[in-house]
Amino acid sequence: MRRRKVLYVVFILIWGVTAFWGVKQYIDKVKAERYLEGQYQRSLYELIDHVGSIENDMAKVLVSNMPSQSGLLLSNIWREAYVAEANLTQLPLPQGAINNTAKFLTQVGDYSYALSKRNLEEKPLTQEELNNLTELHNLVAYLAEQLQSLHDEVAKKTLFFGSVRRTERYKLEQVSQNLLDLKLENIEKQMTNYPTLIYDGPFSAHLDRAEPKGLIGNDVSEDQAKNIVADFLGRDGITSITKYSNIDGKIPGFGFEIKKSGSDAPIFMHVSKKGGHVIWMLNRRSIGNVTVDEEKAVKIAQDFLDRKGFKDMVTTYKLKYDGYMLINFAYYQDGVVVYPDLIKVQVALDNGEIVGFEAQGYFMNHTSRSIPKPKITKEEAMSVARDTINIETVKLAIIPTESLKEILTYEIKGKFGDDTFYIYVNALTGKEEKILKVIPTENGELTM
Amino acid sequence: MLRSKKLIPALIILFLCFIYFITSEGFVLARNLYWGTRGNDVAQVQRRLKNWGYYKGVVDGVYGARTFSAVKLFQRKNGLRADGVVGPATKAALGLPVADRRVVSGRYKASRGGVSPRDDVYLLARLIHGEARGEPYIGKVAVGAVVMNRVRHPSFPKTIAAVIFQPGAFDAVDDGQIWLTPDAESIKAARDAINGWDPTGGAIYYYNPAKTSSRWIWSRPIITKIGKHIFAR
Repeated sequence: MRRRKVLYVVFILIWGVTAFWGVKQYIDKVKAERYLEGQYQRSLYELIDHVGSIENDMAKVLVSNMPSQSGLLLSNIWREAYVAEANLTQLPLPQGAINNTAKFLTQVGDYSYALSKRNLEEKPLTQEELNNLTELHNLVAYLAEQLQSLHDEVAKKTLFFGSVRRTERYKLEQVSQNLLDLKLENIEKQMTNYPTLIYDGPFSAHLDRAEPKGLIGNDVSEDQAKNIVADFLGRDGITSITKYSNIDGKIPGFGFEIKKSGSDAPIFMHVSKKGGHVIWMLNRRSIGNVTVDEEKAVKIAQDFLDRKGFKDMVTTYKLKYDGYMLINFAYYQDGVVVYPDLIKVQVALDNGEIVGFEAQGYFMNHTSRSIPKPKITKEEAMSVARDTINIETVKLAIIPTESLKEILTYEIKGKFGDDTFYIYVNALTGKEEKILKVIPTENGELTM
Repeated sequence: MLRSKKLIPALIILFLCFIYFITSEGFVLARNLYWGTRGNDVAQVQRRLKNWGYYKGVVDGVYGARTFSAVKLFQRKNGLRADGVVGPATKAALGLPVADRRVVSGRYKASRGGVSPRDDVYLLARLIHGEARGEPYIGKVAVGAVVMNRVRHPSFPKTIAAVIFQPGAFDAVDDGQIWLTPDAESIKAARDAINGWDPTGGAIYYYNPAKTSSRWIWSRPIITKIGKHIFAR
């Protein structure tokens, strides 16, 4: 009897240890799979990003007339192609599926590298080289489209790479088959309904790198700030204003939550301590039927800014999505658009209410500037771009540089093929400073 | 053996690409034309010469004797070296494009939005859903804003995907909650964050003080508190 009991105990013990071991193994396996999936997804996204950058930079080389700019872009392409290739080869795809693509990316990189190392000042790009670059550009654009459809496939599924591994153990050909099938799919077909948006505009400097220049006035108390909130929202229907937290970032202030009667969502707002300025506001109430058209929405936003004391603001960018109209404004001084002084206003298209406001850019950068007189003429600036793009408009604009300086430029807008480009020519030196390419989307235009 | 079967179609495609490369218009425009060359560009020259009465033959894209004499005649009349070779100067005189960027602009394939940041909206929405479900709306935007702030910060990766999938960076990635389907509010919040709304005042860290076991995170200067999360620099 006793012996049997001991046997039972031993048996249960062994069972328990095995079960514990098994569960632990299982948990470890799940963890490892998640980790791997994350890394694969990261590689895929990075690949998509880099191929997109290559496409843009190649287009810019074709448009650029400045050897120094072209050289910079070409070495960028070389680097991007190298990283893209590295990411591509990280994906758990069979060799056959990616061989050609990897080789192609390497060639793009090598070709760009060879061109970038040459003294383009002395030996500019020849017609043949431009032709080759155009051809490569078109192939990169094609690759970008294919990757996009692969991404759409990935976004639909949970644990895309993982599920392939589980269900079709060691038969990763399935993925390659997907890749092949995707190539045949109609590319124009839109899988997702989410509209594309600007990355805060191409001229937004990072908050962390500077001190605010545009905050003027005396410090306000919390109660005074509440008054400012009520004024900003027009007082009607406000049932409560409560501070949810202080905000001790670059622009110190108060975070408020505001409730309004008849609204299904609270409004959030940041009021600065210094000067009592509204830095941003978000009202995410639900939107009814659209009754306000674009033109009217822009006028509403412009009038709103006028009333709030932001004079001399001009529209620079518009985007319509989800029943909203998002309008970017920049400060306008002496005939010059000052891009760093950026304010975004969002209008609800059901009743024209202002439901979003964001002025961090403005308060970080706005100051009284003495804008220098251009040293080169409009005609001279245009001659830089005339050979490459069909010029549509030219205007003076101040743009920020990477090093947080501001430069006065001629903004030359024009077409190359069917794409629209902005070329920024330094108004003091005549140097080509920056090229932006416009990417049209369903809801607005995106510049990169 | 399976491998070589796949190689054949690939080689065919590569070969077709090659054919396309050498016969495509751009390559042709860059070359000089002389007795024996053929192609669309030759036909173009013939068409011009025919319109202007220099060339009497058919427009067939083959540079033969008749084309040769027509070119020489044209060159002589226009004060060019009458060598029967259509080079850049002759092309220019014929009104055909020479080395010019606008030549490539004709063949340039415009961007059809092959790569668009909407991918990033959805990915960011997934993270927000996994990390901040049940937080107030502004807390969701804030989580998205932290990702955006990291993308611009020198100490972190440079793309949204790389920031999100950085090992150990977000719990939702480690525990798999990022793979839940994001709700409409998370997508809205992701869009607001990408559009530049930053309720965190520039934060690059956040944590739930009730859950975190990291001591280090407490040493970061706190900026603000939204819902259950503390946001820090």
